[in-house]
Amino acid sequence: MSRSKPASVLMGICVLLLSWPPGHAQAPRADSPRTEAGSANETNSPPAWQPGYKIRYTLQVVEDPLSLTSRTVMARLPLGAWLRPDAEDLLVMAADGKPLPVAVLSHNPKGETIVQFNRHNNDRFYWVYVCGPQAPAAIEPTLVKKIAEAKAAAAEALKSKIDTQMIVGKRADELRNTVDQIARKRKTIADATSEIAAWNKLLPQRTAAAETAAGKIPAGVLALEQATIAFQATKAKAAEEMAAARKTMAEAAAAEKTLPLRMAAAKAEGEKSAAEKKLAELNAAAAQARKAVDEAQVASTQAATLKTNAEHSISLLTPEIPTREQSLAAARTNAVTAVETARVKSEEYRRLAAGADPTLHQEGLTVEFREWAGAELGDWGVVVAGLRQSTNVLGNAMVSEVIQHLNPTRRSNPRNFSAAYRGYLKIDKPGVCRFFVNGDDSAFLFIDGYRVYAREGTNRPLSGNTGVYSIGVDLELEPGVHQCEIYSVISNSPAASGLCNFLWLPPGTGEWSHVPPSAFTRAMLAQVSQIEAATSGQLAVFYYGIDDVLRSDGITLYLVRFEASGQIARPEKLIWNFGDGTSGSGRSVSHVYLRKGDYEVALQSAADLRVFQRRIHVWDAPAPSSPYSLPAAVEVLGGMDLAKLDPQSRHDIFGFLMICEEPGRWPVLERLSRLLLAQPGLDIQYRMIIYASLMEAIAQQGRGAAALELENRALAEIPGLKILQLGIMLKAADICRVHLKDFEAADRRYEKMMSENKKLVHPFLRQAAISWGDMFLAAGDLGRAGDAYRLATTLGTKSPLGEKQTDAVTRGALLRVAEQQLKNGNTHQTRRLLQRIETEFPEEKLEGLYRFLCGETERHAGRYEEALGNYEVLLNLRQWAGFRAAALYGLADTYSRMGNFDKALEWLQGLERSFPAFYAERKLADYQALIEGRRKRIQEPDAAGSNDVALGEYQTGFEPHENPPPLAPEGFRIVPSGGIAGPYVALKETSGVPSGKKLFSINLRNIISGGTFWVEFWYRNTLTPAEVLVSPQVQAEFHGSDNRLSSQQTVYLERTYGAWQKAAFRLPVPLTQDGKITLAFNNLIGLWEVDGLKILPISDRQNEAWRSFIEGADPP
Amino acid sequence: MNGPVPDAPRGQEAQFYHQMYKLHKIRQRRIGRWHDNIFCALLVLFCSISLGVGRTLTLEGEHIERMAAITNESPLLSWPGDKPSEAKPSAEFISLAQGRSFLFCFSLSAIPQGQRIIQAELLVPVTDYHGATVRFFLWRMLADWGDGVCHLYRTVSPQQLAWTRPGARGYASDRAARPSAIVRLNEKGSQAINVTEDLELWYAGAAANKGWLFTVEDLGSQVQLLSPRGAGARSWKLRITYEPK
Repeated sequence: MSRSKPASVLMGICVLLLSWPPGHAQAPRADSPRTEAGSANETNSPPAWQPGYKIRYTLQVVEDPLSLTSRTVMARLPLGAWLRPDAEDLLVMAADGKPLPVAVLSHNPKGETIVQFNRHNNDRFYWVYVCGPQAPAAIEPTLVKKIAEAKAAAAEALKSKIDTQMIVGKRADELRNTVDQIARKRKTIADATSEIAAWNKLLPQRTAAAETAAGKIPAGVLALEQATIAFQATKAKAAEEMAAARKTMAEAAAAEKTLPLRMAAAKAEGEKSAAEKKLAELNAAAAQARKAVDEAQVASTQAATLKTNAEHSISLLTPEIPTREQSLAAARTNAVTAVETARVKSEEYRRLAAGADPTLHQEGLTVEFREWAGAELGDWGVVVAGLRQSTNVLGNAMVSEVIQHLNPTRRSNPRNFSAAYRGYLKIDKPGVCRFFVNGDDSAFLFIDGYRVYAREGTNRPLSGNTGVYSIGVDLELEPGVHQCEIYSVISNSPAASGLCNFLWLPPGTGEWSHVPPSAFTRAMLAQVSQIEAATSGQLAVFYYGIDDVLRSDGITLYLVRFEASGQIARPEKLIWNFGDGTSGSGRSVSHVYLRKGDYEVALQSAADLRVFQRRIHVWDAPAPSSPYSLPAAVEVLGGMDLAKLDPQSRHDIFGFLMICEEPGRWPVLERLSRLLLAQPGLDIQYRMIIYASLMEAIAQQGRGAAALELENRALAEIPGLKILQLGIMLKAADICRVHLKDFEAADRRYEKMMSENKKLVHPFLRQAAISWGDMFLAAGDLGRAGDAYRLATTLGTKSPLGEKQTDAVTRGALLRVAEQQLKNGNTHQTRRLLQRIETEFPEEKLEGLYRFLCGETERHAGRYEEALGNYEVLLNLRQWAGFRAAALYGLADTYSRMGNFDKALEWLQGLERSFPAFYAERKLADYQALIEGRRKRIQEPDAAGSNDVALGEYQTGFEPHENPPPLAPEGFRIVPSGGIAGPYVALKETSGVPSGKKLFSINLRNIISGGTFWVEFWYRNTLTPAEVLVSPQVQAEFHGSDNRLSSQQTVYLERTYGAWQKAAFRLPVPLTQDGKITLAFNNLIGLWEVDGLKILPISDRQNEAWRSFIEGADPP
Repeated sequence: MNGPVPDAPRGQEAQFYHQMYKLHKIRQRRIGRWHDNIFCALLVLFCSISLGVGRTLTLEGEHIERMAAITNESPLLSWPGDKPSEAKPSAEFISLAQGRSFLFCFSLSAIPQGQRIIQAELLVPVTDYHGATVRFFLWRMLADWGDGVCHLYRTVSPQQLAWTRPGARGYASDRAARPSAIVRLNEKGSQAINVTEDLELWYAGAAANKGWLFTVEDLGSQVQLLSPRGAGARSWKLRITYEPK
């Protein structure tokens, strides 16, 4: 931590950074006094058009001006490349035609520009002019000089003030250290005293114990002496007796005779040894007791020494306190003087310049993000050099606090960027504040232009337990408003997440917390509500958002939505350049990008204007993928000039079209396939895949014969490559069979494939045999179909499947698993398993269970014609009569899903007659009543209520001209504000405290029963706190006809920094005719805009196509 | 290397011809019985000629001329060392998971000239796997790769060349547009993968042999293979059956 750099240098650098792009002062005008009483001026009649200017933005203050004391207004304008780099052509006017002083706080030449201007009375509307001549002439030279002098004096006084305040902080730190030391010493004394007391109590006990132990020693000595004497006597006597006995008898006899005496001697020796051991023990015990006494004495002495030393330290430190207090008081006195001087000088400067510079009102907090172009992170000098090179502004935003968890302008990359927060801290309570900036890598904090804290170099965010005063810096701050700037720079640190958090310890608190939004001053907030051109021609800017991210098999498509907003008479004349080589036209357009990252998108709306440019960031937006996105992506691709894309993008699109099962893909696939075939150098197998897809695409469009013409062309490219030839021939045969219904031609081809490739082992051969069997089956020849399927089992692998016992087990298991998957509602998994059974065990295709599962799966997957075919085959298999009831129900339900209620009822009635038990067990009477009700509604449509939706879906862009008129969530207003689904949005402003539950509900009729609804809406927010402070969310509920809650979903909303983002979820619905969906918007703070709300049913087919795409291709 | 050994797939072929015969009978009833007899005679003649001429060549791990493990967890390393239990040069096993792949290339110079590939099987010993429905993919490589190959680059020397998409995932550019095989695991042990199409392309010179890539595409699935150059039964094998053109 370093805070001792010369303030003038630091201020200079800081001011230099602040001044890019240059703050812009307008003509000298008196400060705009606010009318304290009266009503807001809602006049939205613009002033007369300023000559020479080409573009005008209408700004609307979103809050009630009467409720705010702010003296300035801030707005974020989509200026693209329209504003001059020096911003000298920006002019703001009030309704009465009065020009207002304006400052550019952040200018992104490829995005938004944040401007601030003085408030004009209680006006709600303001007008911004750009693309014109230089704004009216600046200040009078004499006043300029006076302002400059006052500014210099104020800066000097400010420097002096900060110096003295830093000294106060230092003195306060010293005093706190001294007091802390004394407190610690006192604690030491207290501890030592209690320890001494404890020893004093213990010492006599230990001394007594030592004396007792010592007193036992003489007895031990005596006992040893006695034992020794007894032993020696007995031993001598035994020796004598032995010697005597030896003289009179043999050795053995002598030994025998003297044995008792020798035994006695041995016993005496043992007693002597015991006495010795006992004495040793007594000595040891006495020594131990003595040692304990010594230890106690030493410890007591040490404690006494500690106590004495601590007392001595206290005696030395205590006198320091008054000195330090005096130093602190003196520093504070100096600070008070300096503060007062600075205040006077500052006010003098402001008095002179307030009318010309709205930033002097010290309101609002903004952040500007730039691409970090610096070489390295070091001290402030190194960083500031890097910041000077970092001229690429990525984006900006008006924010309410400094809590950043990512790079909001490049959500997919949290590295190599800088964030500059500029705002004003509002201090209510005087005293020493401690500040800390936590985050990745480097961070620098400036208060009142003075660098007070630096976290230099490469760092990781601090986490876990940290001493309260071990981080941060102290600063004495007087009550009032203080300029505050934070520069956070995150380089290429691998673990960086984009974190930057501003924390503080306000006076009188002992716990770190985020500096809350209430600690920053606020300006009024205005939104762009209209954009006009001077001429009657067109003029448009655009907004964008990531609509969906479609990912499968390693290919990712980013579907991006663009919405032009402005004065648009002929949308078809709006020309888009999407920044990837392709272009388009129209007002609401979607585009597919194949890679995430930055793109520069341009919109040309008028020939006499520069194009509107915006850098967009394509990223993996978090909303779930929509089944509606697949057809949308195909449609977009159909409108794209694919030839202008790079080769890899074309390959990826081809891959996407191969996986995606959308019917609309065929014309696109045909066009793309032809384009790819014209490309030299492609892998030969890939070329054949393209040929096959081209043939299929042509056939699918009803030109089967034309498709077959490609067969020979393809085969001519692959002489001698049998397997590739097989692939093409198989495709041709399938076209004959499926599209041309020319079974003879198909038969010839299948037969040829078999006969010409007898020895070849490849799955294509098996597939050909299966297709051959399918052909016979379609012709109703079950016997030949069975033969073909059995033939298929012998092909494609070296060991024919179905021969081994384990194959039978596997086959049975697969069918059971498929059945179980179907029961669990996993139709897609069931379909995959059935496909696998078809490939590995083709003979199963004539089994009843297989057919039943196929019928059920196809029905749930929305392939109704195929489902009917499977049920019909099943009904012809008499040995599988066990499935007849279920098949009849399947037929009825299939017809019901197809909307053919008459047929459905016919089959249901048949089922009731033939299988009454099944009918009763499944409670099909309710289902039948539902179908009858639906049929009745079709036959006799009733007058729906105004809020009812006849088609069981709801969509709105909150546009006033919609029919029926749009509904807005409770507490929201419908206003023009650069929406993403038309110019209008639903807007809610909730400053300060979280809003309660704001409801939006819609009645739905004729719901597709037992299905799922797709709910999506777009949102953006400004001045919204981070999720750590509050979790904004939307809770969705579905209530059935009986108004009972049947399903619920919650989606959490993110802080979007003013960009549009999509939230979406699926909401299951039960078996019902009608119902109600309720969306509850909770915990909203700041400015929230909602647009493009859709509540749409997901059909079986859509759902299946989507799931199939997500899971990817899985060829046999 | 094993020398060419005779192959005798008689059981399978017999079943094939039986079924073919039945189907032809069905077809030719419209034409006449004499046709069946001719077809039958031709079939028998063809069988007798063809059964004896097929030859099988088995290439083992030692014929793999280059290989590398790459992972997104260590995007600049071949044989990334930060997961020592899962992939390193001296390891006995190769662990595949989403984002962790294995590149290898067999030398095919042992196949005699003037032949026609009938069948090719890659035999890979799977020692373990984790996941609900575990499958792994084999892809024919289209982009060349070599020194320094890793998740981000296909080679770094003499020139640094990036994959079209990291991890050799570029559709129809890094690897083929469709997988050569998808192996579904039902049990551990040697897995036979049909690679006839790839071998035919390489042998015929219609595509350059740039090897294969093993991947696991499903999140949460893991497949553990024995290292290619194990001894004997532990070695990977590429079994190629061919016959004279």
